[in-house]
Amino acid sequence: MKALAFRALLGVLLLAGVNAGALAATAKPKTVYIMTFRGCEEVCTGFRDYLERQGEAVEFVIRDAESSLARVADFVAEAKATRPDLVVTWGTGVTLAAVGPYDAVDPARHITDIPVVYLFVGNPTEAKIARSTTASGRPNVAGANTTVSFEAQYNTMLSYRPVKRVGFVYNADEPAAAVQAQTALEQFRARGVEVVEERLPAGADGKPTPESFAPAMARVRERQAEMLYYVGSSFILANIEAFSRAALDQKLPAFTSFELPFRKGGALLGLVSPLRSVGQIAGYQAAQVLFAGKPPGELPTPSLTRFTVLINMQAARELALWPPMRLLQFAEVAP
Amino acid sequence: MANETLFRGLSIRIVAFAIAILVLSLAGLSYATYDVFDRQAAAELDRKAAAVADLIANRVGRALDLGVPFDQLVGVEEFLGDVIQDQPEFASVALADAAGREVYRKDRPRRQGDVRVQSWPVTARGAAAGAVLIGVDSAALNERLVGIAFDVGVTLLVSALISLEVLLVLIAVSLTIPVGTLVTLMNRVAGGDFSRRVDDRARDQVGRLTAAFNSAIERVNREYRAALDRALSAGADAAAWGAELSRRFVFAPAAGAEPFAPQSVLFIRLPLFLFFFGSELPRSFLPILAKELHAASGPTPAWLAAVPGGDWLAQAYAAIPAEVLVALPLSAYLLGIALFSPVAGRLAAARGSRTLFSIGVVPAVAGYVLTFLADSLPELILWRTVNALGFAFVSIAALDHISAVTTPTTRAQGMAAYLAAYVSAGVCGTAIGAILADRIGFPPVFLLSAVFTLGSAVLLWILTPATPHRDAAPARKAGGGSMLRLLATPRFLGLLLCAGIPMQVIQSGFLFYYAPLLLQELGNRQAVIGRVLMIYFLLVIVFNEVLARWADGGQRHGKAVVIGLGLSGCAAAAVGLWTDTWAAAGSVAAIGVAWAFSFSAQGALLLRMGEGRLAGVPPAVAIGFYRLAERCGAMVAPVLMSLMITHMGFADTALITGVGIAICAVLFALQMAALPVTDSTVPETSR
Repeated sequence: MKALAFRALLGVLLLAGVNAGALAATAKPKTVYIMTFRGCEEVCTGFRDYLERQGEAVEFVIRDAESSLARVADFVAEAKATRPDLVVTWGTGVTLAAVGPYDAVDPARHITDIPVVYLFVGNPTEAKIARSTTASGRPNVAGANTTVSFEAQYNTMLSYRPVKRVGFVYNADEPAAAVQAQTALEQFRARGVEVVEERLPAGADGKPTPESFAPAMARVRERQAEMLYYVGSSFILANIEAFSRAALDQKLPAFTSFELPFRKGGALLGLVSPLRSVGQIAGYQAAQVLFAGKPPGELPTPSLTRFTVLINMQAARELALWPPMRLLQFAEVAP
Repeated sequence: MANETLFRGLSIRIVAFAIAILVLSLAGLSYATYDVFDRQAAAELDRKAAAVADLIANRVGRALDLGVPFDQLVGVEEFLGDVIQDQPEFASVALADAAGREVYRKDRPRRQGDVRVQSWPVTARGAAAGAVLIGVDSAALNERLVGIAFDVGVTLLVSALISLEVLLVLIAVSLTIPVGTLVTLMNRVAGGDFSRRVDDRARDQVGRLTAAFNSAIERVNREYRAALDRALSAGADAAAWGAELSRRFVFAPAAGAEPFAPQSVLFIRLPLFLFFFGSELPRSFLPILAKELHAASGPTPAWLAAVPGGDWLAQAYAAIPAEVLVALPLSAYLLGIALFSPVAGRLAAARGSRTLFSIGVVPAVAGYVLTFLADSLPELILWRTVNALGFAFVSIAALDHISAVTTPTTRAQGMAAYLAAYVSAGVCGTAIGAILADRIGFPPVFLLSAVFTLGSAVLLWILTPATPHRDAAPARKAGGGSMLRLLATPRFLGLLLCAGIPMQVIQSGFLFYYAPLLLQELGNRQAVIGRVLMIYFLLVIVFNEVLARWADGGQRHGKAVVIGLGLSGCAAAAVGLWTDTWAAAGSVAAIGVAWAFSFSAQGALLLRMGEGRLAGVPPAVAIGFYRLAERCGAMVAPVLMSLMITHMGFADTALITGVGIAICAVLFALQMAALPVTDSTVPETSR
């Protein structure tokens, strides 16, 4: 009797299992269309892994702009034709090309009726992607704040060495860089720290050249800056190795809140949003849109609160500027 | 009325024997445990040192592995400081290089004597790179061990006292009182009275004895009625014989013998002890809690303004200086007791003491639970007032019960039982509350108070027979006129101003408010604070009876008050001169003795003044007024202390208080010389 009941139960369970499997197989998977700038790197994989772990069927379509924003227009056209469940845009440039600034949306060129979640946008409000830091203010757009708070950056710098004067060397020709420099300058001054500014001069073609790094660093050093504060810009990022070399030659320790300049260049100290976390927090928002059916415009904008301290021992050795024991306890150290 | 003195010898022997065995076995057990702990603590400390050294060696090794030169390590002192921050057992921690030279070192600010240095190697890149040196401070370990020994000792003392309370009541209820009742009734039988039986349902030996007595009584009554019936039917002669019989003896009515219910103050003693115990638990940390809550909730807690009509309340609250506010939980409690006591007195007359006691438990428990939940100072003040309502009801109920079950000659004994319950609850509650506060924090202790208070109500219903019938006339009402007349009497006024109020300032201000705050300021654990305050109650227990008898013996009441005042003054001043923990402990002890000297002596002085010197006010009424006026002093005292501490610091506050009290002692001595109190009535102690 017992055995019979057990077998019957087993049968029901098996049937149920088969049915559930069949249902899952037949349910239409959600399509996520990802526009990347240079392939699916760590932020993008962090995003994908997060969504895949939610236990729902998701199909990813990944497009790579190969560092050319002009190609984004083709992706927009493709998305409008295929109508995925969600479009994901990587970086400020791609995101702007796909959805446009909120005050200049062109329904012909921009996506307006498909949900969009942006990834890895340094300052969404400054770039006019979001209307405020708490919500995008746009019906089909959502994303997260992933910049490292200035307070945390400042405390990390101080915990390495006392700083009364910092140096900025940046390309004032790029609006994003100019804005970042201005914001940081105000924050430093509010804390009684002097800022030594060096804007890179334009070369023959109106653009600065890497040759201008060394003299700029020398001037910063001359004016007794104790640390170089990295102001992000495409030009410097493209020449990050030469930039870092020039700083180290002048015995200038560098601080950055971006991961790439740290990994590729020789910045001594960094406080960054871990790339995987940047992807995961966007994945959380994507899941809200895809599986909970929430309109992107109604999602509150989350912020990352945990950052990683990075210390570059190669730079420390070259500068003979050793990391304090306290900081070493929880820093990620590049040997 | 059961004869309580009859079996006193027996019960004292039983209690003394039981407690001696309890204390000895507990002491043995405690010693064995302590010994094990002592040995393990040393080994534990070595393990801890090794763990700390391992951590340091690990981190330093990593930095060296990363290429940082040993002599250029950055922030080592801060790092070492972090590691030993909450470890008072480690006096110093240092880092030596491969050559054994000490390069970095961090010492604890407060170093104590004997330090034993242990060393662990640091390795980097597979080779010895230096050593971690940890200085283990044996004095800190000893200090901790001594603290634990004290805690164990206090627990021992408290368990002995609690056992004493329980045993006394247990023996009284199961042995002394029923046997005493039997003795009383048998004496009546010897005198020919067969009308009463014992009201007792116990199943033990004593119960069988009383059952046997009851059946004997019933048999006699039955036989009497049967004989009477036979006689009545037999004729006139026999009826006359029956009438003669009932003239010479008293028999029960046909309905049966009336039960004789014994009354005793001992019935209420255990519930009262539990109630007081609950109320004394927070004693040692209440001023500290008030300060902490004030710091947490700020000048105006947000919820206060949110209460309907709370706007002006919040403004009024914000207008009160912080020093006054933090003293209010103590003052409001005393004020509450003073205000609610008259209400309680009327209720006691209308409802009976057992009901009043039970009613009082409700606000008391509610007050504790709400205090547990409180997170701002105004809440604490409010809920302490609710507690005061409970305390007023219960204490008045107890006093009412005592006056109902005692006769004028045994009333002093009844009052002594009340005071004993209060003081031994003071010893136990203060000490245990502090030890608990150290381990579970302040708020949960209030929950425990609530539990004990509930327990007191339960015990009351189990132990106490229905409220005894009160035939005593309600206390004589005395109007405000007699109060004014009293205040115009130099002897009364002098006693009140020079002795009554100063002694309240010492107790309620210096002892219960200043001392806990000072002891905390000196860096003591809560358990130490509780232990110190406990000394006061302990010495009151030890000396109260002895000193009262000494004062009674030679009519030395005036002297006793002067000595008490002088001692208190010196005690407070000593704290001002040597502001440390030992001075505070000595001072608290001296105040305990001083209190034993002067408390009952003040009452005795009032009685000895007699109506003649008290403007025609009866001494008993004068004592009532005196206690009321004293209470006003007690209310103001914490506020006064708080203001003085803020404006002149701990040392000067104690010094000025001490000198002030000493001046009172001199003034009162002068008063006694100029206006002596000679006996005008037969002295009666007011203990």
